Amino acid sequence: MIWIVLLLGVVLVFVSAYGYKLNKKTAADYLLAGRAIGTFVMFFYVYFAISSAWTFYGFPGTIYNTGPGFMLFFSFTSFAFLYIIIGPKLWAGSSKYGYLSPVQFLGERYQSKALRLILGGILVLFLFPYLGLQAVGIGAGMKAAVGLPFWFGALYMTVIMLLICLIGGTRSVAWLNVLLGIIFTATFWGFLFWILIKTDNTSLSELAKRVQEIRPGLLGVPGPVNAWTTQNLMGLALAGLTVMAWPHVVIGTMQVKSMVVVRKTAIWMLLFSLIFCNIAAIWGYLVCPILVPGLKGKAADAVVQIAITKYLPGWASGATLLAVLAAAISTVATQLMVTGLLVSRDIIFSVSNKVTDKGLILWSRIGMVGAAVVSFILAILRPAELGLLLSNIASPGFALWLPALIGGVLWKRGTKEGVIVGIVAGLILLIVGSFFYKPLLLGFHPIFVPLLVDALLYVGVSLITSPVPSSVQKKFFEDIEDYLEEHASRNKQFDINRAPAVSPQVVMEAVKVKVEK
Amino acid sequence: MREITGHRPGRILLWVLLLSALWYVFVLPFVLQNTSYLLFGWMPVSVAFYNLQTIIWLLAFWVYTSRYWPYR
Repeated sequence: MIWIVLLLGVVLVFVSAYGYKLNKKTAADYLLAGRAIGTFVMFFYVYFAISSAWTFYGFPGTIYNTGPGFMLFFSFTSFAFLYIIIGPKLWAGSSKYGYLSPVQFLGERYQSKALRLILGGILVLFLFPYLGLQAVGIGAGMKAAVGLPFWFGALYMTVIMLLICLIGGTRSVAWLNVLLGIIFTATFWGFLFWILIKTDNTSLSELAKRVQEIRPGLLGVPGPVNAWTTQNLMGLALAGLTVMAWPHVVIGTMQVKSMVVVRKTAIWMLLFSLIFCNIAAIWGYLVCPILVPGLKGKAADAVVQIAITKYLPGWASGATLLAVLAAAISTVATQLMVTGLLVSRDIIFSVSNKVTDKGLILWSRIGMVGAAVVSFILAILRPAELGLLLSNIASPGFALWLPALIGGVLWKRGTKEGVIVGIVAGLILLIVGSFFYKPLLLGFHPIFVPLLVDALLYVGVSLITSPVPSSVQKKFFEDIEDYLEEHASRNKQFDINRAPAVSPQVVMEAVKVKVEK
Repeated sequence: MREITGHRPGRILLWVLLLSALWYVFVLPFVLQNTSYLLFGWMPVSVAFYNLQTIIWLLAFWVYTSRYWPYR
Protein backbone atom coordinates (compact mmCIF):
# COMPACT_ATOMS: atom_id res chain seq x y z
CA MET A 1 0.00 0.00 0.00
CA ILE A 2 2.89 2.31 0.67
CA TRP A 3 3.69 2.16 -3.04
CA ILE A 4 0.26 3.58 -3.89
CA VAL A 5 0.84 6.44 -1.47
CA LEU A 6 4.22 7.17 -3.00
CA LEU A 7 2.71 6.89 -6.47
CA LEU A 8 0.05 9.48 -5.57
CA GLY A 9 2.82 11.92 -4.79
CA VAL A 10 4.43 11.33 -8.18
CA VAL A 11 1.07 11.75 -9.99
CA LEU A 12 0.40 15.03 -8.17
CA VAL A 13 3.79 16.40 -9.11
CA PHE A 14 3.16 15.48 -12.76
CA VAL A 15 -0.24 17.19 -12.67
CA SER A 16 1.48 20.29 -11.32
CA ALA A 17 3.99 20.11 -14.12
CA TYR A 18 1.10 20.07 -16.60
CA GLY A 19 -0.39 23.08 -14.78
CA TYR A 20 2.93 24.85 -15.26
CA LYS A 21 2.56 24.41 -19.04
CA LEU A 22 -0.78 26.26 -18.91
CA ASN A 23 0.65 29.03 -16.74
CA LYS A 24 1.16 32.44 -18.36
CA LYS A 25 4.34 32.94 -16.32
CA THR A 26 3.13 36.21 -14.77
CA ALA A 27 3.08 36.84 -11.02
CA ALA A 28 -0.74 37.27 -11.03
CA ASP A 29 -1.14 33.95 -12.83
CA TYR A 30 1.35 32.05 -10.69
CA LEU A 31 0.19 33.50 -7.34
CA LEU A 32 -3.53 34.24 -7.92
CA ALA A 33 -4.44 31.84 -10.76
CA GLY A 34 -5.00 34.84 -13.01
CA ARG A 35 -7.94 35.97 -10.78
CA ALA A 36 -10.16 33.60 -12.75
CA ILE A 37 -11.33 30.81 -10.40
CA GLY A 38 -14.98 29.74 -10.83
CA THR A 39 -17.45 28.47 -8.20
CA PHE A 40 -16.77 24.73 -8.50
CA VAL A 41 -13.01 25.00 -8.17
CA MET A 42 -13.23 27.84 -5.65
CA PHE A 43 -15.40 25.79 -3.30
CA PHE A 44 -12.99 22.85 -3.31
CA TYR A 45 -10.00 25.16 -3.23
CA VAL A 46 -11.12 26.98 -0.08
CA TYR A 47 -12.90 24.15 1.70
CA PHE A 48 -10.01 21.76 1.33
CA ALA A 49 -7.52 24.46 2.13
CA ILE A 50 -9.20 24.35 5.54
CA SER A 51 -9.95 20.63 5.77
CA SER A 52 -6.60 19.06 6.32
CA ALA A 53 -4.84 16.16 8.00
CA TRP A 54 -6.02 17.98 11.09
CA THR A 55 -9.68 17.44 10.11
CA PHE A 56 -9.11 13.72 9.69
CA TYR A 57 -6.91 13.22 12.75
CA GLY A 58 -6.82 16.27 15.01
CA PHE A 59 -10.55 17.11 15.00
CA PRO A 60 -11.87 13.61 15.90
CA GLY A 61 -8.84 13.06 18.15
CA THR A 62 -9.49 16.21 20.17
CA ILE A 63 -13.19 15.41 20.51
CA TYR A 64 -12.23 11.85 21.55
CA ASN A 65 -10.03 13.33 24.29
CA THR A 66 -12.11 16.29 25.44
CA GLY A 67 -15.71 15.87 24.27
CA PRO A 68 -17.95 17.46 21.62
CA GLY A 69 -17.77 20.95 23.16
CA PHE A 70 -14.87 21.36 20.73
CA MET A 71 -17.45 21.64 17.91
CA LEU A 72 -17.85 25.34 18.68
CA PHE A 73 -14.54 25.93 16.95
CA PHE A 74 -16.12 25.19 13.55
CA SER A 75 -18.12 28.31 13.04
CA PHE A 76 -18.31 28.63 9.29
CA THR A 77 -20.42 31.74 9.43
CA SER A 78 -17.25 33.79 9.55
CA PHE A 79 -16.44 32.54 6.05
CA ALA A 80 -19.77 33.79 4.82
CA PHE A 81 -19.11 37.13 6.56
CA LEU A 82 -15.71 37.30 4.90
CA TYR A 83 -16.98 36.41 1.46
CA ILE A 84 -20.10 38.59 1.47
CA ILE A 85 -18.99 41.66 3.42
CA ILE A 86 -15.18 41.94 3.31
CA GLY A 87 -14.43 39.87 0.22
CA PRO A 88 -16.03 42.06 -2.45
CA LYS A 89 -13.84 45.01 -1.43
CA LEU A 90 -10.65 42.95 -1.50
CA TRP A 91 -11.69 41.50 -4.85
CA ALA A 92 -12.32 44.98 -6.23
CA GLY A 93 -8.93 46.14 -4.90
CA SER A 94 -7.27 43.23 -6.65
CA SER A 95 -9.26 43.61 -9.85
CA LYS A 96 -9.25 47.44 -10.09
CA TYR A 97 -5.82 48.30 -8.64
CA GLY A 98 -3.94 45.05 -9.32
CA TYR A 99 -3.09 44.20 -5.72
CA LEU A 100 -1.71 40.71 -5.26
CA SER A 101 -2.30 40.19 -1.55
CA PRO A 102 -4.69 41.43 1.15
CA VAL A 103 -1.68 42.73 3.08
CA GLN A 104 -0.68 44.84 0.09
CA PHE A 105 -4.27 46.17 -0.02
CA LEU A 106 -4.09 47.12 3.67
CA GLY A 107 -0.61 48.62 3.31
CA GLU A 108 -1.89 50.96 0.59
CA ARG A 109 -5.12 51.63 2.44
CA TYR A 110 -3.32 52.61 5.68
CA GLN A 111 -0.47 54.25 3.72
CA SER A 112 2.26 52.37 5.57
CA LYS A 113 5.05 50.12 4.35
CA ALA A 114 6.06 49.31 7.93
CA LEU A 115 2.57 47.98 8.51
CA ARG A 116 2.90 45.70 5.49
CA LEU A 117 6.14 44.30 6.89
CA ILE A 118 4.62 43.73 10.32
CA LEU A 119 1.42 42.11 9.02
CA GLY A 120 3.27 39.99 6.46
CA GLY A 121 5.81 38.88 9.08
CA ILE A 122 3.19 37.93 11.66
CA LEU A 123 1.09 35.95 9.19
CA VAL A 124 4.12 34.04 7.92
CA LEU A 125 5.24 33.38 11.51
CA PHE A 126 1.92 31.77 12.44
CA LEU A 127 1.66 29.85 9.18
CA PHE A 128 4.66 27.75 10.28
CA PRO A 129 2.89 25.75 13.02
CA TYR A 130 -0.09 25.21 10.69
CA LEU A 131 2.20 23.94 7.93
CA GLY A 132 4.07 21.82 10.45
CA LEU A 133 0.96 20.12 11.74
CA GLN A 134 0.19 18.73 8.28
CA ALA A 135 3.57 17.04 8.23
CA VAL A 136 2.83 15.77 11.74
CA GLY A 137 -0.48 14.34 10.47
CA ILE A 138 1.16 12.43 7.65
CA GLY A 139 4.02 11.25 9.86
CA ALA A 140 1.57 9.93 12.48
CA GLY A 141 -0.70 8.43 9.80
CA MET A 142 2.10 6.54 8.01
CA LYS A 143 3.35 5.24 11.32
CA ALA A 144 -0.11 3.99 12.35
CA ALA A 145 -1.02 2.55 8.93
CA VAL A 146 2.17 0.99 7.61
CA GLY A 147 4.65 1.26 10.46
CA LEU A 148 7.08 3.63 8.73
CA PRO A 149 9.08 5.98 10.98
CA PHE A 150 7.38 9.29 11.83
CA TRP A 151 10.13 11.38 10.23
CA PHE A 152 9.71 9.59 6.88
CA GLY A 153 6.05 10.58 6.56
CA ALA A 154 6.79 14.15 7.58
CA LEU A 155 9.64 14.41 5.08
CA TYR A 156 7.58 12.85 2.28
CA MET A 157 4.83 15.38 2.90
CA THR A 158 7.25 18.30 2.93
CA VAL A 159 8.94 17.30 -0.32
CA ILE A 160 5.69 16.64 -2.23
CA MET A 161 4.05 19.90 -1.19
CA LEU A 162 7.15 21.84 -2.08
CA LEU A 163 7.42 20.32 -5.55
CA ILE A 164 3.73 20.95 -6.30
CA CYS A 165 3.95 24.61 -5.35
CA LEU A 166 7.33 25.34 -6.88
CA ILE A 167 6.33 23.84 -10.21
CA GLY A 168 2.63 24.43 -10.62
CA GLY A 169 1.53 27.64 -8.88
CA THR A 170 -1.94 28.50 -7.59
CA ARG A 171 -3.91 27.26 -10.62
CA SER A 172 -2.44 23.76 -10.27
CA VAL A 173 -2.99 23.83 -6.53
CA ALA A 174 -6.66 24.84 -6.99
CA TRP A 175 -7.36 22.01 -9.43
CA LEU A 176 -5.45 19.51 -7.33
CA ASN A 177 -7.66 20.54 -4.39
CA VAL A 178 -10.69 19.40 -6.40
CA LEU A 179 -9.19 15.97 -6.96
CA LEU A 180 -7.83 15.63 -3.44
CA GLY A 181 -11.06 16.95 -1.90
CA ILE A 182 -13.11 14.28 -3.66
CA ILE A 183 -10.75 11.52 -2.44
CA PHE A 184 -10.87 12.92 1.09
CA THR A 185 -14.66 13.28 1.27
CA ALA A 186 -15.40 9.86 -0.19
CA THR A 187 -13.08 8.16 2.30
CA PHE A 188 -13.99 10.15 5.39
CA TRP A 189 -17.74 9.75 4.89
CA GLY A 190 -17.80 6.35 3.21
CA PHE A 191 -15.60 4.59 5.76
CA LEU A 192 -17.71 5.90 8.64
CA PHE A 193 -20.82 4.19 7.27
CA TRP A 194 -18.84 1.09 6.34
CA ILE A 195 -17.25 0.68 9.78
CA LEU A 196 -20.62 1.18 11.49
CA ILE A 197 -22.19 -1.59 9.38
CA LYS A 198 -19.15 -3.88 9.62
CA THR A 199 -19.07 -3.72 13.43
CA ASP A 200 -22.88 -3.99 13.80
CA ASN A 201 -23.14 -0.52 15.29
CA THR A 202 -25.97 0.78 13.14
CA SER A 203 -27.90 2.44 15.98
CA LEU A 204 -26.40 5.77 17.02
CA SER A 205 -28.51 5.78 20.20
CA GLU A 206 -27.05 2.41 21.25
CA LEU A 207 -23.56 3.74 20.55
CA ALA A 208 -24.25 6.80 22.69
CA LYS A 209 -25.46 4.62 25.58
CA ARG A 210 -22.29 2.53 25.45
CA VAL A 211 -20.09 5.62 25.28
CA GLN A 212 -21.81 6.98 28.40
CA GLU A 213 -21.05 3.69 30.19
CA ILE A 214 -17.41 3.44 29.07
CA ARG A 215 -16.50 7.12 29.39
CA PRO A 216 -18.93 9.00 31.60
CA GLY A 217 -19.03 12.70 30.84
CA LEU A 218 -17.58 12.42 27.32
CA LEU A 219 -20.83 13.45 25.63
CA GLY A 220 -21.42 16.43 27.91
CA VAL A 221 -19.83 19.78 28.65
CA PRO A 222 -17.26 20.49 30.17
CA GLY A 223 -16.20 16.99 29.03
CA PRO A 224 -14.28 14.13 30.69
CA VAL A 225 -11.11 16.11 31.40
CA ASN A 226 -12.92 19.37 32.23
CA ALA A 227 -11.48 21.01 29.12
CA TRP A 228 -14.54 23.05 28.10
CA THR A 229 -15.17 25.35 31.01
CA THR A 230 -17.13 28.54 30.29
CA GLN A 231 -13.96 30.56 29.80
CA ASN A 232 -12.38 28.03 27.46
CA LEU A 233 -15.56 27.62 25.43
CA MET A 234 -15.83 31.40 25.01
CA GLY A 235 -12.32 31.50 23.67
CA LEU A 236 -12.93 28.51 21.44
CA ALA A 237 -16.10 30.06 19.99
CA LEU A 238 -14.26 33.33 19.40
CA ALA A 239 -11.38 31.45 17.77
CA GLY A 240 -13.97 29.79 15.51
CA LEU A 241 -15.42 33.12 14.48
CA THR A 242 -11.96 34.43 13.62
CA VAL A 243 -11.19 31.59 11.21
CA MET A 244 -12.01 34.13 8.50
CA ALA A 245 -8.65 35.76 9.31
CA TRP A 246 -6.67 32.76 8.12
CA PRO A 247 -4.56 34.19 5.29
CA HIS A 248 -5.06 31.21 2.96
CA VAL A 249 -8.82 31.76 3.30
CA VAL A 250 -8.72 35.53 2.81
CA ILE A 251 -6.59 35.25 -0.31
CA GLY A 252 -9.40 33.30 -1.99
CA THR A 253 -11.46 36.50 -2.25
CA MET A 254 -8.82 37.96 -4.58
CA GLN A 255 -8.67 34.92 -6.84
CA VAL A 256 -12.30 34.59 -7.87
CA LYS A 257 -13.69 35.39 -11.28
CA SER A 258 -16.71 37.42 -10.11
CA MET A 259 -19.05 38.26 -7.26
CA VAL A 260 -21.36 35.43 -8.27
CA VAL A 261 -18.56 33.00 -7.39
CA VAL A 262 -18.09 34.70 -4.02
CA ARG A 263 -21.78 34.35 -3.17
CA LYS A 264 -22.14 30.74 -4.24
CA THR A 265 -18.92 29.71 -2.49
CA ALA A 266 -20.12 31.21 0.81
CA ILE A 267 -23.43 29.34 0.64
CA TRP A 268 -21.85 26.02 -0.34
CA MET A 269 -19.33 26.35 2.46
CA LEU A 270 -22.06 26.70 5.09
CA LEU A 271 -24.11 23.86 3.64
CA PHE A 272 -21.20 21.48 3.31
CA SER A 273 -19.79 22.29 6.76
CA LEU A 274 -23.04 21.18 8.35
CA ILE A 275 -22.54 17.64 7.04
CA PHE A 276 -18.77 17.53 7.16
CA CYS A 277 -18.31 18.69 10.76
CA ASN A 278 -20.96 16.27 12.02
CA ILE A 279 -19.26 13.35 10.29
CA ALA A 280 -15.90 14.30 11.81
CA ALA A 281 -17.47 14.74 15.24
CA ILE A 282 -19.30 11.39 15.11
CA TRP A 283 -15.95 9.69 14.50
CA GLY A 284 -14.64 11.39 17.64
CA TYR A 285 -17.48 11.12 20.17
CA LEU A 286 -19.45 8.02 19.09
CA VAL A 287 -17.43 5.62 16.94
CA CYS A 288 -13.82 5.75 18.13
CA PRO A 289 -14.50 5.66 21.90
CA ILE A 290 -16.24 2.31 21.33
CA LEU A 291 -13.92 0.80 18.73
CA VAL A 292 -10.58 2.13 20.03
CA PRO A 293 -10.94 2.84 23.76
CA GLY A 294 -8.15 3.88 26.06
CA LEU A 295 -6.03 6.27 23.98
CA LYS A 296 -4.81 9.47 25.61
CA GLY A 297 -3.15 12.76 24.60
CA LYS A 298 -1.20 12.81 21.33
CA ALA A 299 -1.91 9.09 20.74
CA ALA A 300 -5.54 10.02 19.99
CA ASP A 301 -4.41 11.99 16.92
CA ALA A 302 -4.37 8.73 14.92
CA VAL A 303 -7.59 7.30 16.40
CA VAL A 304 -9.53 7.23 13.09
CA GLN A 305 -6.63 5.60 11.30
CA ILE A 306 -6.30 2.99 14.06
CA ALA A 307 -10.05 2.20 13.95
CA ILE A 308 -9.99 1.71 10.18
CA THR A 309 -6.80 -0.39 10.30
CA LYS A 310 -8.31 -2.56 13.03
CA TYR A 311 -11.80 -3.18 11.64
CA LEU A 312 -11.66 -2.72 7.85
CA PRO A 313 -9.63 -4.64 5.20
CA GLY A 314 -5.98 -3.78 4.67
CA TRP A 315 -6.55 -1.75 1.53
CA ALA A 316 -8.96 0.53 3.42
CA SER A 317 -6.16 1.47 5.79
CA GLY A 318 -3.99 2.44 2.85
CA ALA A 319 -6.88 4.33 1.25
CA THR A 320 -7.32 6.27 4.49
CA LEU A 321 -3.70 7.23 4.48
CA LEU A 322 -4.16 8.32 0.88
CA ALA A 323 -7.13 10.48 1.89
CA VAL A 324 -5.24 12.08 4.77
CA LEU A 325 -2.38 12.72 2.43
CA ALA A 326 -4.83 14.32 -0.01
CA ALA A 327 -6.26 16.50 2.75
CA ALA A 328 -2.86 17.53 3.99
CA ILE A 329 -1.46 18.30 0.55
CA SER A 330 -4.50 20.36 -0.44
CA THR A 331 -4.10 22.50 2.67
CA VAL A 332 -0.37 22.79 2.72
CA ALA A 333 -0.05 23.61 -0.95
CA THR A 334 -2.49 26.52 -0.53
CA GLN A 335 -0.72 27.75 2.60
CA LEU A 336 2.67 27.43 1.03
CA MET A 337 1.54 29.51 -1.97
CA VAL A 338 0.25 32.19 0.40
CA THR A 339 3.48 32.10 2.40
CA GLY A 340 5.45 32.61 -0.80
CA LEU A 341 3.18 35.49 -1.80
CA LEU A 342 3.50 37.21 1.59
CA VAL A 343 7.27 36.77 1.65
CA SER A 344 7.78 38.17 -1.84
CA ARG A 345 5.08 40.83 -2.19
CA ASP A 346 4.78 42.06 1.39
CA ILE A 347 8.18 41.45 2.98
CA ILE A 348 10.92 41.43 0.33
CA PHE A 349 9.29 43.89 -2.09
CA SER A 350 7.25 45.94 0.39
CA VAL A 351 9.74 48.82 0.29
CA SER A 352 11.02 48.38 -3.27
CA ASN A 353 9.52 50.19 -6.24
CA LYS A 354 11.26 47.97 -8.79
CA VAL A 355 9.04 44.92 -8.77
CA THR A 356 9.10 42.50 -11.69
CA ASP A 357 7.03 39.39 -12.26
CA LYS A 358 10.24 37.37 -12.41
CA GLY A 359 11.46 38.76 -9.09
CA LEU A 360 8.10 38.13 -7.39
CA ILE A 361 7.95 34.53 -8.59
CA LEU A 362 11.59 33.87 -7.63
CA TRP A 363 11.17 35.26 -4.10
CA SER A 364 7.88 33.45 -3.67
CA ARG A 365 9.67 30.20 -4.41
CA ILE A 366 12.53 31.02 -2.02
CA GLY A 367 9.94 31.84 0.66
CA MET A 368 8.22 28.52 0.08
CA VAL A 369 11.45 26.54 0.47
CA GLY A 370 12.24 28.39 3.72
CA ALA A 371 8.72 27.80 5.08
CA ALA A 372 8.84 24.11 4.17
CA VAL A 373 12.14 23.61 6.01
CA VAL A 374 10.93 25.40 9.16
CA SER A 375 7.64 23.50 9.16
CA PHE A 376 9.47 20.17 8.82
CA ILE A 377 11.63 21.02 11.85
CA LEU A 378 8.47 21.97 13.78
CA ALA A 379 6.86 18.67 12.80
CA ILE A 380 9.84 16.71 14.11
CA LEU A 381 9.83 18.64 17.40
CA ARG A 382 6.01 18.28 17.63
CA PRO A 383 5.41 20.62 20.55
CA ALA A 384 1.69 19.84 21.12
CA GLU A 385 -1.13 17.54 20.05
CA LEU A 386 -2.61 18.35 16.63
CA GLY A 387 -5.90 19.91 17.69
CA LEU A 388 -4.21 22.33 20.05
CA LEU A 389 -1.43 23.24 17.63
CA LEU A 390 -4.10 24.78 15.42
CA SER A 391 -6.69 26.15 17.85
CA ASN A 392 -4.26 27.44 20.51
CA ILE A 393 -1.27 28.64 18.49
CA ALA A 394 -1.89 29.24 14.78
CA SER A 395 -5.48 30.44 15.02
CA PRO A 396 -4.91 33.10 17.75
CA GLY A 397 -1.91 34.34 15.78
CA PHE A 398 -3.90 34.79 12.57
CA ALA A 399 -6.69 36.51 14.50
CA LEU A 400 -4.40 39.38 15.42
CA TRP A 401 -4.74 41.04 12.03
CA LEU A 402 -8.54 40.83 12.08
CA PRO A 403 -9.16 44.36 13.50
CA ALA A 404 -6.81 45.76 10.84
CA LEU A 405 -8.58 43.79 8.10
CA ILE A 406 -12.18 44.57 9.07
CA GLY A 407 -11.38 48.17 10.00
CA GLY A 408 -9.31 48.70 6.87
CA VAL A 409 -12.14 47.61 4.62
CA LEU A 410 -15.16 48.97 6.52
CA TRP A 411 -14.00 51.86 8.73
CA LYS A 412 -12.53 55.03 7.20
CA ARG A 413 -11.32 56.29 10.56
CA GLY A 414 -8.91 53.36 11.15
CA THR A 415 -5.24 54.42 11.13
CA LYS A 416 -1.85 52.74 10.76
CA GLU A 417 -0.89 53.81 14.29
CA GLY A 418 -3.99 52.03 15.61
CA VAL A 419 -3.12 48.86 13.70
CA ILE A 420 0.54 48.79 14.74
CA VAL A 421 -0.04 49.53 18.44
CA GLY A 422 -2.92 47.02 18.63
CA ILE A 423 -1.19 44.20 16.82
CA VAL A 424 2.17 44.56 18.62
CA ALA A 425 0.44 44.62 22.03
CA GLY A 426 -1.70 41.60 21.06
CA LEU A 427 1.33 39.66 19.82
CA ILE A 428 3.32 40.30 23.00
CA LEU A 429 0.36 39.23 25.14
CA LEU A 430 -0.15 36.08 23.06
CA ILE A 431 3.49 34.96 23.15
CA VAL A 432 4.16 35.83 26.79
CA GLY A 433 0.77 34.50 27.94
CA SER A 434 1.05 31.24 25.97
CA PHE A 435 4.66 30.32 26.64
CA PHE A 436 6.02 32.22 29.66
CA TYR A 437 3.36 33.57 32.02
CA LYS A 438 -0.09 32.01 31.63
CA PRO A 439 -1.91 34.22 34.21
CA LEU A 440 -1.61 37.04 31.67
CA LEU A 441 -4.40 35.36 29.67
CA LEU A 442 -6.72 35.54 32.74
CA GLY A 443 -7.63 31.87 32.39
CA PHE A 444 -9.19 32.32 28.94
CA HIS A 445 -8.35 30.61 25.63
CA PRO A 446 -5.15 32.17 24.16
CA ILE A 447 -7.13 34.11 21.56
CA PHE A 448 -9.40 35.98 23.94
CA VAL A 449 -7.36 38.60 25.81
CA PRO A 450 -4.81 39.35 23.03
CA LEU A 451 -7.56 39.91 20.43
CA LEU A 452 -9.65 42.03 22.78
CA VAL A 453 -6.66 44.25 23.67
CA ASP A 454 -5.68 44.43 20.00
CA ALA A 455 -9.18 45.53 18.95
CA LEU A 456 -9.59 48.09 21.75
CA LEU A 457 -6.19 49.64 21.07
CA TYR A 458 -6.88 49.73 17.33
CA VAL A 459 -10.10 51.66 17.83
CA GLY A 460 -8.77 53.90 20.63
CA VAL A 461 -5.48 54.86 18.97
CA SER A 462 -7.20 55.35 15.60
CA LEU A 463 -9.61 57.83 17.15
CA ILE A 464 -6.82 59.99 18.55
CA THR A 465 -4.57 59.90 15.46
CA SER A 466 -5.08 61.46 12.03
CA PRO A 467 -6.90 59.37 9.41
CA VAL A 468 -5.48 58.85 5.93
CA PRO A 469 -6.05 61.74 3.46
CA SER A 470 -9.53 62.05 1.96
CA SER A 471 -8.21 61.10 -1.49
CA VAL A 472 -7.04 57.75 -0.09
CA GLN A 473 -10.34 57.28 1.72
CA LYS A 474 -12.19 57.92 -1.54
CA LYS A 475 -9.97 55.44 -3.39
CA PHE A 476 -10.59 52.64 -0.90
CA PHE A 477 -14.24 53.26 -0.07
CA GLU A 478 -16.34 55.24 -2.56
CA ASP A 479 -14.36 54.29 -5.68
CA ILE A 480 -14.29 50.62 -4.76
CA GLU A 481 -18.02 50.54 -4.04
CA ASP A 482 -18.74 52.35 -7.31
CA TYR A 483 -16.58 49.80 -9.12
CA LEU A 484 -18.48 46.92 -7.52
CA GLU A 485 -21.83 48.44 -8.46
CA GLU A 486 -20.68 48.88 -12.06
CA HIS A 487 -19.47 45.29 -12.11
CA ALA A 488 -22.82 44.04 -10.76
CA SER A 489 -24.87 46.11 -13.21
CA ARG A 490 -22.73 44.92 -16.13
CA ASN A 491 -23.34 41.33 -15.10
CA LYS A 492 -27.09 41.87 -14.74
CA GLN A 493 -27.32 43.64 -18.06
CA PHE A 494 -25.95 40.66 -19.91
CA ASP A 495 -27.40 37.89 -17.84
CA ILE A 496 -30.21 36.73 -20.16
CA ASN A 497 -31.52 34.26 -17.58
CA ARG A 498 -32.41 37.15 -15.29
CA ALA A 499 -34.47 38.95 -17.95
CA PRO A 500 -36.56 36.37 -19.79
CA ALA A 501 -39.12 38.94 -20.91
CA VAL A 502 -36.63 41.03 -22.88
CA SER A 503 -37.00 40.74 -26.63
CA PRO A 504 -34.11 39.51 -28.81
CA GLN A 505 -33.85 42.99 -30.36
CA VAL A 506 -33.25 44.55 -26.94
CA VAL A 507 -30.64 41.93 -26.12
CA MET A 508 -28.89 42.57 -29.43
CA GLU A 509 -28.89 46.32 -28.74
CA ALA A 510 -27.35 45.72 -25.33
CA VAL A 511 -24.67 43.52 -26.86
CA LYS A 512 -24.02 46.20 -29.47
CA VAL A 513 -23.54 48.84 -26.76
CA LYS A 514 -21.17 46.53 -24.92
CA VAL A 515 -19.13 45.89 -28.08
CA GLU A 516 -18.93 49.62 -28.80
CA LYS A 517 -17.73 50.29 -25.26
CA MET B 1 -20.59 48.74 3.48
CA ARG B 2 -23.22 51.04 1.99
CA GLU B 3 -24.50 48.19 -0.19
CA ILE B 4 -25.69 46.42 2.98
CA THR B 5 -26.48 49.22 5.41
CA GLY B 6 -28.31 51.15 2.70
CA HIS B 7 -31.38 48.92 2.67
CA ARG B 8 -33.60 47.19 5.22
CA PRO B 9 -32.83 43.53 4.38
CA GLY B 10 -29.13 44.31 4.71
CA ARG B 11 -29.60 45.87 8.11
CA ILE B 12 -31.66 42.87 9.22
CA LEU B 13 -28.85 40.53 8.08
CA LEU B 14 -26.30 42.52 10.05
CA TRP B 15 -28.47 42.39 13.17
CA VAL B 16 -28.95 38.63 12.79
CA LEU B 17 -25.19 38.18 12.43
CA LEU B 18 -24.33 40.45 15.34
CA LEU B 19 -26.84 38.99 17.78
CA SER B 20 -26.09 35.39 16.83
CA ALA B 21 -22.33 36.00 17.13
CA LEU B 22 -22.78 37.57 20.58
CA TRP B 23 -24.97 34.63 21.61
CA TYR B 24 -22.43 32.14 20.26
CA VAL B 25 -19.43 33.62 22.06
CA PHE B 26 -20.83 35.10 25.26
CA VAL B 27 -24.05 33.24 26.12
CA LEU B 28 -23.87 29.73 24.66
CA PRO B 29 -20.76 28.72 26.72
CA PHE B 30 -22.82 29.38 29.88
CA VAL B 31 -25.88 27.53 28.53
CA LEU B 32 -23.80 24.45 27.65
CA GLN B 33 -22.16 24.02 31.06
CA ASN B 34 -23.09 20.78 32.85
CA THR B 35 -25.34 19.59 30.03
CA SER B 36 -25.47 15.90 29.25
CA TYR B 37 -28.80 15.66 27.39
CA LEU B 38 -28.71 13.82 24.06
CA LEU B 39 -31.02 14.98 21.28
CA PHE B 40 -32.57 12.01 19.40
CA GLY B 41 -30.79 9.83 21.97
CA TRP B 42 -27.33 10.40 20.48
CA MET B 43 -26.62 14.04 19.58
CA PRO B 44 -24.94 16.03 22.41
CA VAL B 45 -26.40 19.46 23.19
CA SER B 46 -23.23 21.24 22.07
CA VAL B 47 -23.48 19.59 18.64
CA ALA B 48 -27.21 20.36 18.40
CA PHE B 49 -26.60 24.05 19.13
CA TYR B 50 -23.76 24.12 16.65
CA ASN B 51 -26.06 22.68 13.97
CA LEU B 52 -28.88 25.07 14.81
CA GLN B 53 -26.56 28.06 14.65
CA THR B 54 -25.11 26.99 11.29
CA ILE B 55 -28.60 26.47 9.83
CA ILE B 56 -29.68 29.96 10.95
CA TRP B 57 -26.62 31.53 9.35
CA LEU B 58 -27.05 29.47 6.20
CA LEU B 59 -30.65 30.58 5.77
CA ALA B 60 -29.82 34.22 6.54
CA PHE B 61 -27.02 34.36 3.97
CA TRP B 62 -28.92 32.32 1.41
CA VAL B 63 -32.04 34.46 1.51
CA TYR B 64 -30.15 37.75 1.61
CA THR B 65 -27.57 37.06 -1.08
CA SER B 66 -29.98 35.42 -3.51
CA ARG B 67 -32.72 38.07 -3.22
CA TYR B 68 -31.36 41.37 -1.93
CA TRP B 69 -27.56 41.55 -2.24
CA PRO B 70 -26.73 44.29 -4.75
CA TYR B 71 -23.69 42.41 -6.09
CA ARG B 72 -25.57 39.13 -6.73
